Amino acid sequence: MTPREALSLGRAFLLAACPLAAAVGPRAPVEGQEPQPRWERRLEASEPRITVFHSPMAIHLPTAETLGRGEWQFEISHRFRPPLSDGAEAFWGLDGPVNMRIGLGYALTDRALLTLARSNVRDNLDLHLKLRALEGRAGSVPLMVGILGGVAWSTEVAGRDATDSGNFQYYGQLILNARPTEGWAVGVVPSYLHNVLLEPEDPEGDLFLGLNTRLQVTRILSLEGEWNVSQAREEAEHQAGAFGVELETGGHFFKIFLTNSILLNPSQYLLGSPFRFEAAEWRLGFTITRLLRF
Amino acid sequence: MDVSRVSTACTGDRAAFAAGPGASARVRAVLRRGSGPGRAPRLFRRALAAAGRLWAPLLLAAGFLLPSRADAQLYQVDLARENRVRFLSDAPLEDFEGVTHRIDGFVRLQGEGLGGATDLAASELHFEVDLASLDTGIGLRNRHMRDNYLETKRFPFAAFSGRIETLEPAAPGGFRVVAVGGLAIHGVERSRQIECRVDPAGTAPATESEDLRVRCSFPVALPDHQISIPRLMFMRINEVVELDVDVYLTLSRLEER
Repeated sequence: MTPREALSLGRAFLLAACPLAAAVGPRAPVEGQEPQPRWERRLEASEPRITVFHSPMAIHLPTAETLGRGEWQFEISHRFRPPLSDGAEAFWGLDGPVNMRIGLGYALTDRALLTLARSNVRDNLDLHLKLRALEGRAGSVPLMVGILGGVAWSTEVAGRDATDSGNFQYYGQLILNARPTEGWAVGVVPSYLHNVLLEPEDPEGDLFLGLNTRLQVTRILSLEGEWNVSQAREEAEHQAGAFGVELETGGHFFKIFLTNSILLNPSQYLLGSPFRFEAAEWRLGFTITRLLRF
Repeated sequence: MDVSRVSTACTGDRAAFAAGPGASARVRAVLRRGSGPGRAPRLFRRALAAAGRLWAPLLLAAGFLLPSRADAQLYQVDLARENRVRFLSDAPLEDFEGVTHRIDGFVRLQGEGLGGATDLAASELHFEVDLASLDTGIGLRNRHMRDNYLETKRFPFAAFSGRIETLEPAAPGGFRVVAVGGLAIHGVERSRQIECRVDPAGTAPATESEDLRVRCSFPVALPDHQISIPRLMFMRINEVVELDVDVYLTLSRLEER
């Protein structure tokens, strides 16, 4: 074989081997994703809108996130009243009794989420509207701002008719969310509540400060924590905190956590808790939300 | 080569040549506009007439040298139409689908094109889908899918590139096409054979229509593209999703050698 023959044989082998190599197995990930030459790309990749927290709610506190127009959110939440520290005898609280809440949210627009929820604590019916007011970036940090206004009607207050005007509470919340790193989000939620304690004849208004954070651990698992700064009052001497995990499946959020609060609706948990935030007083709680479109 | 056809070409009446069966109205129009190059063969014919008995072999030689027709048709996705790419995930407890209208691409046919002599080995096609635009109906699920499974920041497009392997007429007025090439999703490319149906988008048969509707349906196994779906309690997503492509093409350019 002459050198020239050998060369052409080698070239033929290479030509034959290339398509063979292409046909066998997956290739390494292609970062460039360039289209073929001689053809100009007309549709660029779309840029999804900014997100900070994934779920529209933290544990008790709201996030600025809303749903897509026409989507529904069904929620069921429990707070087990006996503390975890009661142990096996109370089945770590799961024996109950429980405080619970059922809610249904509907996205009027991509930015407006209307939620109706009922808790069995004082038969509190809560209606609130949340607006995702704006989102943007500060440098590379995604930010989102929401505002929320709500009315709560407690139909079971001792010594009063259900429709007594003293049974209504009004509240507003400013929701400031930021995501300093890819998987770490923080929220600050100043709140104002009118008629904090239902019983007094002269309703009192007060300010509260909610703080919450979320740390994504895996694609579906995150850690969550929150704290609500409140003034000490009778029956609510302590500030409420909670921490736990959030599982996200795409259509659901599952949140399982420990908290010293056993109140669920916004006009109730803001107040605080009769229990100290310490291991002996932690209670189990969960929230399941399901996102739907009909 | 048929001598009568060659002589027609050499009269300069190239449109007549190209307007045989299989050439669309647009092909005819484009070729008719090409009057400039048509003058040269007319002069050439006069020279040939003077050449007396030598005309036949000379014509044959000229026929090989002169451009005689459009050699390629470029079809592009008609972005003004309602194109649709849809995946369907069929799982025991939860079916869901994702839809996008953001698909673009082209098919280039070498030769006479649909209904004519076409060199399929030299055909080319490329289609790409903007994955971040996939909508499952639930915004938070879209985000979950983008960030966690498709990783659209790293791999914004799903693409299929290759060529047409077979092209057979199929009633009524359409074609059955098998395309071969690489299907790249999530940055992992797999060799695939994809069968599609091509129909005229209007009333004329596909061979005369400039607007075609292409429909393909094929399964995609997510693990083939290194898309892993976590098994979370009762929420399972099928590992094989069904992909439906329904896209309109329009003849955008004729190319000559």
